Amino acid sequence: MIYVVIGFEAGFPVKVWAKFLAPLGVCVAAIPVAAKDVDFKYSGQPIYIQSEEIEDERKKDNWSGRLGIGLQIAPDFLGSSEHTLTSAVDFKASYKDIIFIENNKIGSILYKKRLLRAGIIGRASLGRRNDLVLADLQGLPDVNEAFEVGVFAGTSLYKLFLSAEAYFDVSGVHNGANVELEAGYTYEFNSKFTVAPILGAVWGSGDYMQTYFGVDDAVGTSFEPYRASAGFYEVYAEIAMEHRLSKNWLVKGSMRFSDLVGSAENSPIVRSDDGSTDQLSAIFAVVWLF
Amino acid sequence: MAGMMKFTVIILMLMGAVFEQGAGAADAPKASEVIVLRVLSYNINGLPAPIKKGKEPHYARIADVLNERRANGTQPHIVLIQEAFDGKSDIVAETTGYKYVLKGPGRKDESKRGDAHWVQKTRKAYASFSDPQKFMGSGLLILSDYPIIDARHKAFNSDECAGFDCMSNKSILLARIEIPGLGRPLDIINSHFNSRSAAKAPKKAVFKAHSRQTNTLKWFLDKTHTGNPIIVAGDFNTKEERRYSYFTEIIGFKDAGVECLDAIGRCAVGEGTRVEELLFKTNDKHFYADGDGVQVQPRRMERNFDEMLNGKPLSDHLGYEVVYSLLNE
Repeated sequence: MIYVVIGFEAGFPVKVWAKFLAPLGVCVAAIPVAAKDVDFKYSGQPIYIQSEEIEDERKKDNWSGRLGIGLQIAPDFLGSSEHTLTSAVDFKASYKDIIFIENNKIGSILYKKRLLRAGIIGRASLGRRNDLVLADLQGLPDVNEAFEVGVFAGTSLYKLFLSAEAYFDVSGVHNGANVELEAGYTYEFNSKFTVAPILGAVWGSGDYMQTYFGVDDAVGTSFEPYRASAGFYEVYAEIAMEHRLSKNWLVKGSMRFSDLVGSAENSPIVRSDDGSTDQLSAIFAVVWLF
Repeated sequence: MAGMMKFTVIILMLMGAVFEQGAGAADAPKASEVIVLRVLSYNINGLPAPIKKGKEPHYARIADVLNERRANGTQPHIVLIQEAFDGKSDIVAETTGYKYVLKGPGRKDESKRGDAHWVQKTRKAYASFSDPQKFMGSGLLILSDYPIIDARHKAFNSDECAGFDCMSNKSILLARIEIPGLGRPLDIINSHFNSRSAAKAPKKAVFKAHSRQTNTLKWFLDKTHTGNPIIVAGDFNTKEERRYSYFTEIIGFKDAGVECLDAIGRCAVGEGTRVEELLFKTNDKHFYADGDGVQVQPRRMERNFDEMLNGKPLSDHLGYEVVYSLLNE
């Protein structure tokens, strides 16, 4: 027996074909219900069907972050020509993508959209203490550690990231404002190794600049009085590398070259034998991811 | 008229002979229980501007072809489309006579499970988007002549993609379709998996992402399994051997291309269709599994939509169409 299947959409009366073909040993089969229930000549707008999501039971951890231990080198103070190698802790943690801690910073994400995140942030900034610096700077007033609060906005597009942070002193140390702008891109050389070049610039208000680069009272020092003005005072280029060792471990290294510009560049502190417009900082750490 | 009748009879006899050769007495279906279903899977390369521009004539031509086939009564009953990102490609869904259209998840229907890739969270925490950043929807469509009585989807988790593929909300889309005469509804699944070199990401990362998507498809199949016959078709990016091996091992369904070519006589290959384009030299695939009391068999397959328009192909993929017979056991 030969079987032939005809869809009703062919538009031929099956009984006629069956009668015609039967003597030839051909059995005509048909889709029994299709013809009357299905409109193959539908000409209206389609009926759009809404699908329902099936979600898995997988949960995100509330906490995620990293803890790194290693060595770092950094200028003794902003504008110093002396650099010191110390042990370093690199700590970052995030709770439910709302609260984050990054070394000396803590913040909360208050606005979350596909391309933008923004919120409030606070940080502790290192000061400048006479016991850390050389004789030439003795006589300048101490600049204590400052606590600053502010706002941030950040975005990332694939592996490109941009961020802006604005801080205002609330500890009475400099009574000024400071803005950091940064952009970078992560190159993923292979599944274990990434390199991210980063460019940044930092702006300071007049009070901020005067605190770190100005000389109010030259008595007892070798400096002339100097009034630092508001503006961009630091531009930097950084290269950050990470090599993944395993699911929870990696090693990281980064190196930042900063150039002090504008009013900072002309500061007598920076121009002194103990100062420099060239600033280097670097860190190498073994990092545990959690 | 008589000439046409004679021609038609010859054609029908030839078709019958094809079915007869392989069917055999033991597994010959009862004629009244066999249902023919044409299923087309087609990646229409509908990327939005400015990535792709001037694609409107191509979409229009694809719609024309489907309309011409409908006029001839040979249209695919179900069309699974991938990469329908461009709104202008809606013409394919809206002007081709398909009564039921199921759109896959859009950009905002993303799955928030999973975590950001470590590469994207190595800098400032707030600039690391652990929620997926999707710039396009899933690009999936299912067009059906038959009623879609239920529909489900699963967007791949944010750590189940790699490279540029992460920008679209790649998903699994299921349509449960009621086919008159069939003892159970048919489950049709459309999906588009992570690409390989086009993802511009390390090989290990894209393979891992693809494997995770395969695992998710398996989970989805287990979750939605009701004993219905299933056809899983789409752009699975399984041209790479190890991807294909892992996929077929985990999913466990029959590859329509393999089954058809193993059953020469029962399954025909369209004129001009190269065998390798049904098997391993393609990312487009059809897989299927029988249901409880319903047997699924590929009867004919072809790669189509191979014409050129203004010197350019309609898409960077060919259509992959399979004619299935569905048999109530």
